[in-house]
Amino acid sequence: MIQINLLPDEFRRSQRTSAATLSVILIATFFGFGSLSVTGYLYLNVRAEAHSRVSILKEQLDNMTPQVRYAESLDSEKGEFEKRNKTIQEIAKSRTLWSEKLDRFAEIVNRDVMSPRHQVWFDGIDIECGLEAKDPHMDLDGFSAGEEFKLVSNFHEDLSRDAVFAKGFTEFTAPTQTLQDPEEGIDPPHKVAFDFGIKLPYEDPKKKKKAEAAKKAEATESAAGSSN
Amino acid sequence: MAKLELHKNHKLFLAITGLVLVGSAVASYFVWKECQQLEEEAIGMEEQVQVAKAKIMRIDDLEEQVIILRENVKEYVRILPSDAEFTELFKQLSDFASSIGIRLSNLNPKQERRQARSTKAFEQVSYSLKFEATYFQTLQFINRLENYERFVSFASIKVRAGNYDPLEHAPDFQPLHSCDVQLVTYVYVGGAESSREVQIAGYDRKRAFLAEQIAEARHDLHLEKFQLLAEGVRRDPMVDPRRRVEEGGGSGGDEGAIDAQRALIAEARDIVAQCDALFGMMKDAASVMREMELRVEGWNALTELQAKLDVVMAKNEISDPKVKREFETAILPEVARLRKQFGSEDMGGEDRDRIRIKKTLEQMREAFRTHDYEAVARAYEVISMVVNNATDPELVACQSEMEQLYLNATTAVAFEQVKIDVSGLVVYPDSADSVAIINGVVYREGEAITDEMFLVDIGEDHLLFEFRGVLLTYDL
Repeated sequence: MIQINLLPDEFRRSQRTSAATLSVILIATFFGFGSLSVTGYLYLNVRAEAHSRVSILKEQLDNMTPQVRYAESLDSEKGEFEKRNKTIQEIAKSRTLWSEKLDRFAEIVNRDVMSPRHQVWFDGIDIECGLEAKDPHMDLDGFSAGEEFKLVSNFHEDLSRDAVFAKGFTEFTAPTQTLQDPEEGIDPPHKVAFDFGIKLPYEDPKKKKKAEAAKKAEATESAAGSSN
Repeated sequence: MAKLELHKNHKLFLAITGLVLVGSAVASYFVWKECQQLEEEAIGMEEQVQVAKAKIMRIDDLEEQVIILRENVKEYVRILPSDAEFTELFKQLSDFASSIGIRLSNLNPKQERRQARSTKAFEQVSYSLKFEATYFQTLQFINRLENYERFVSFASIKVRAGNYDPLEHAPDFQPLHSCDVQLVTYVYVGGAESSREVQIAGYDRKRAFLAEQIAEARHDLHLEKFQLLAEGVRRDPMVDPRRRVEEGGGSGGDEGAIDAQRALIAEARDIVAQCDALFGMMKDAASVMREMELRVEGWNALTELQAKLDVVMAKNEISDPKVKREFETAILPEVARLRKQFGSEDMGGEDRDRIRIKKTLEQMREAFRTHDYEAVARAYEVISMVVNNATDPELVACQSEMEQLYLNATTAVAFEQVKIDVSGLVVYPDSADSVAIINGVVYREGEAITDEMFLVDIGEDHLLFEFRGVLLTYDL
């Protein structure tokens, strides 16, 4: 519907903005400028601050980089030298003093002058103890004077119970013995052929690596657990 | 209720405001997002900074650790031969072998080198050696190599017994066994990488400052060595110890003499056992006086035994190899052990020497009197080996008398070898006109027979000569 106001101007009711309209405009203005201010604040203050923080940290990191690299190189060199240190220690420790063992061996064999427990001599001595040996051992192949098998057992016992000789060996296998035909003109004419082996410790390199890795992982886990 | 009337301008204003609001919200969202990203980046960088700081904080410690490790590895690898030293090692192998009396038949270095374990800094080098030697020569050779200044170990040792047959060979025959050994050493190749090592500022100064810690850490590496004692009379473990049965039974040798030797060993064992008992009592003695008495008693018994053993050694009285071995491996070390046990401040080395010197002097006098000049010489040689020069005037006099007896004895031995053929004598008692026909020439008392020998006196049953300044009787 169209309304026509025919009153002269002086009689017409003054046209002023209603309170509701004003309120709406005011509210809209508040929110409009408010949001602008928030955006401005975020952009000019918060973002700029974050930017400057990042650039400060970046600069700080850049400044520290040479020292960090130096520390890392030192750390890796330390690791390498620790390995070298460990390796040379292992090399030194891995050595069996065979002159001591064989000297003691001769001494035990020579005990036959002191007691009748045994009287033996050897045909062959085989020692395999290199790092690549998969079954490091000392094999003894010899004879015992007389007919008694007991004497070989006595010798075997003397060897395995001798602290100096037995040190470092893991197992003395039981001797196999065979009585030989008598030899005329020799005192005593009989002899018993025997042989037995003595085992040295062996560690499979693969198993050793695995064990070392497992140990390392365990140490890392426990360190992480204690820091938490 | 008032109706909300909006003017066209109002509407336009509201629309613009709405647009501003929406635009701002969108912009705010993106700015907030960016801020969040920056925050995350900053947190990450802060962590990096913390890590970096921690690393930097460790620099001093790391430098110290690296210096200690570097210096110690440098020291440790001295036990390993360098590439340049391999010629020297070859030479040493040959020298060791020839000094022991071994002739190497094959010395073969393995061409390929293996990298050692966890690091590439060490390379394993192997040599294969073949030679023939007795058991104890082999033992000495292995010992020399193990005690060599550079690390050497054995990867394999194979000894095959040499040919020995008790029926064919003499008991003292020493067969040569064939030996095949593989020895291993390592070369340090990490030294070549020293140019790639981290440059530590003020290295020398820091190293000097850390000298103590470097030395402390170095104790860890210990290369075990074994000192092989001089070989006694042990039998070769690779030789058949059984003996050939001699005709008429037995296993050779003069049974009577061997019994006497065995009796001596048994007696020595008894005395050793007595001394052991005395030593036990001495340790449990209730008083110092009692302890002294027991010590003197034990010491006297030992000294007597030692004197006997000295004579046995000097006269080489033990001939049976088995008894001799027992004598040298069981009796002598036991006596030495007991002497050590009984030897103390109260019975010091000087007292021991006094007793030994006096006993030996008595034996030498007796032997000289009975013209057993060889025994005199042997006794002197034995005592000279075990007793130092004395300072006590009494002992000095004893030692000079022993020296004189020794000189006289050796002169007498030489005199016995001079050809003296007496074919006639004219003796005038109490007159200087006596003559003797020696080696076909007539000599009077006081005349020279050679430059070193003079005829001093002519008796009815003897001639007295002065030979090299010593008066010696020639019994007719």
